[in-house]
Amino acid sequence: MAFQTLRNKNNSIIYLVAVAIVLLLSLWTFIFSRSNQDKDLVLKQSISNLQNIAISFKEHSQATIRNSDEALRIIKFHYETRGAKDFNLLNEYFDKNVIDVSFFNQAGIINKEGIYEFSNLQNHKKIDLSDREHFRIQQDAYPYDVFVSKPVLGRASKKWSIQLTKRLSTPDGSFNGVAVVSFDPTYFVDYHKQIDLGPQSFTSLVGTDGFVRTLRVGDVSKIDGSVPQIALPQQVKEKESGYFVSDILFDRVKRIYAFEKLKHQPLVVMVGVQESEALAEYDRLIRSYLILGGLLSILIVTFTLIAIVMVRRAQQLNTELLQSYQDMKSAKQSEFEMSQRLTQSEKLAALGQLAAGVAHEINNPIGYVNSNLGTLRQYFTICEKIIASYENLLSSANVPLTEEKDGPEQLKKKLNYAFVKEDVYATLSESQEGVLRVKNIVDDLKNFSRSDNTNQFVRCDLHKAIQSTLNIVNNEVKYRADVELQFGDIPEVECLPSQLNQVFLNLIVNAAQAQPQGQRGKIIISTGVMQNKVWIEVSDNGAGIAKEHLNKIFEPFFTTKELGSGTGLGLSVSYGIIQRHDGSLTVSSEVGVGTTFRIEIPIEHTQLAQEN
Amino acid sequence: MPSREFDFSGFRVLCVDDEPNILSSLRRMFSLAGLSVDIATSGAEALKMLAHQEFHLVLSDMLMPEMNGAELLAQVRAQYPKIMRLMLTGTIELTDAMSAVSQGKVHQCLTKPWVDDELISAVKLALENYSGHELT
Repeated sequence: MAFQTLRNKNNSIIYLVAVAIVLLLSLWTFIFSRSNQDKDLVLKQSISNLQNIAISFKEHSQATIRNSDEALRIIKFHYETRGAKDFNLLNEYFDKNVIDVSFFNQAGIINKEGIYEFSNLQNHKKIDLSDREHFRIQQDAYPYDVFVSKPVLGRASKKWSIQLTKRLSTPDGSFNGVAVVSFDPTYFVDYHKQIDLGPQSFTSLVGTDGFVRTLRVGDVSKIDGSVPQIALPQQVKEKESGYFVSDILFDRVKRIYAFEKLKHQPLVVMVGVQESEALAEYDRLIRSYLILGGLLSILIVTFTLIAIVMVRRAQQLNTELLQSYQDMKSAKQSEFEMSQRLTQSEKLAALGQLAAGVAHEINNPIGYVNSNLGTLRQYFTICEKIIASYENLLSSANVPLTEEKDGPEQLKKKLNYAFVKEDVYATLSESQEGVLRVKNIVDDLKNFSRSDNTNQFVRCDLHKAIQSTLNIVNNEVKYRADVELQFGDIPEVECLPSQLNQVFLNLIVNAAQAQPQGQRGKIIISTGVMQNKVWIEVSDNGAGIAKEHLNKIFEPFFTTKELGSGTGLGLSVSYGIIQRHDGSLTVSSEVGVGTTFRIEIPIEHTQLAQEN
Repeated sequence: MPSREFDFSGFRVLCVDDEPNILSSLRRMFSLAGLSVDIATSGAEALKMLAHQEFHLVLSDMLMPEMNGAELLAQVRAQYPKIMRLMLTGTIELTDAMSAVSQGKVHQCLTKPWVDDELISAVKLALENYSGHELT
């Protein structure tokens, strides 16, 4: 049983731990997959955001270039139709804001020799710009409409500027110089400033060749041409738009970059955000997930521990309970065995006390049967003598075969044969009666002394049982009282017969002993049925029981008899026996009038009663 | 057997027992030995008979209703001191019987089941000793 409990306990705890592990695994798997999903989501949102910014940046850049191109077209048209004449008219365009120069540093014309021939600036100087890339690139039939230069330090303006140039042609199509607008790079950069993508954000307008036009990292704008060529990933060169992650593009900061290629220009706008910044939202989510997961884990572990402690406690209690139940059961069992032994001992003691009486009951018949046998032997001797006498008489030799001189008739008279003949039968039947009495007493004793260790309840005729008990105690009773039986019509009762006999014996002997010395009393044994019970009353007209003793008589070792004449257990054991039968044993008594003991026991014995 | 040679004629013996079959067997046994006996089934009856007839010996059972053998024989001794008194008891508790012997109420105590010859010898011995004088 202990092993079983231990195994159960371990099983329960293993089960609890397994459930906890499964819960924790599920929780963290959920958090992990959820965080991955969220990371993807945040990344997607970030990228989409970046791409939108890139698109808007691209549009802005393209609009800027288009605006510049409009100015360049007017200048180009003017120069190609009028040549170097009427620059005043051109100036008038600028002055009158036909050409909006508000976002140009200057606008002008470099002739085919590379001389800065015209500028809208007052202090214009015709300097040689033939070495400049924005000039030279147009000489070589630049494939795009407008060339956007790297930032250059203006020789005329002395400012860092981006030059946008458009090829000027003669009517036959040959190179005739370039129209140029000088652009303040901050114009782009100012737009960058509007975009808040965190301290390490990156915005750039860069050529597909990797030469940076404008660039802003965080708060710092690079518009002075100090940025070297950057190595663009292949996909930037190949695709119109897209995104990538890099930590080597410009600096060592890991960023997510979105790029958009400008239409009709070898230019790309790039917007970058530091990955950690992009994932800030994700980090916040992760943090809250971790906190939530941690709290839940602590909760699960705590609950599991509490549950284990509770299970252990419960099982400990259970074990203790089981132990005490078993203790109780074994105590009850030993109590039961003890009471069985006590019952048996008391019975043996009662038998011991009855032994003298029983011996007397047996000695009487044995005495006269034995004597009768001697008599019968002598009777037979008489018969033999008479027969021999007859034989003598009948013998042909007429020689006496015996010494007997008398004839048969004389012998018969002499030996009182008439009496012998008659008395033989009386002697035999009295002897048979004696032997039968002995047999009955032995039978009754056998019934009485049988141990009911099996506790098998059997149907029993209680009248026979009472009669049988009376036979055994006859010697105790017959010299003190007359027994009157008032038997009712009772059915057989399910009982432990030998134990009930013991009760009857106790009550009958007590009733006999209740008679005052030298005074012959009366014992009435009556029976009857009452609902599903039978009752048996043993009444005597003896001394009665004193009131102060009446409530003690069923207590063990209580006796009023003199030392050695009783165990003091008779009534106590009887009480136990009747309880075992789920019945009751009650007493009513009046001093000087007599005592009545009443037994009530159920006709059908129920299992419940036996367990009780 | 010496008991058979004893001449019981002239002696009267009274057997007292509450068990009629005992009395029957005693009567048979004594009768075959040549001794005719009278019987009584209680102490009271015995005393009544003793008052009317002369007896030389009373053989009484010990345990009897109302008056037991010791009480009867004590009375016999008191009223008829010459009569020999024998006890024949079936009880194995001989305390009462033995005290009766030691108190002189009884000359000899025999137990049931008895041996016929022993009982006859005891009766014979008692009758031989019968002197007509008070024996105490």
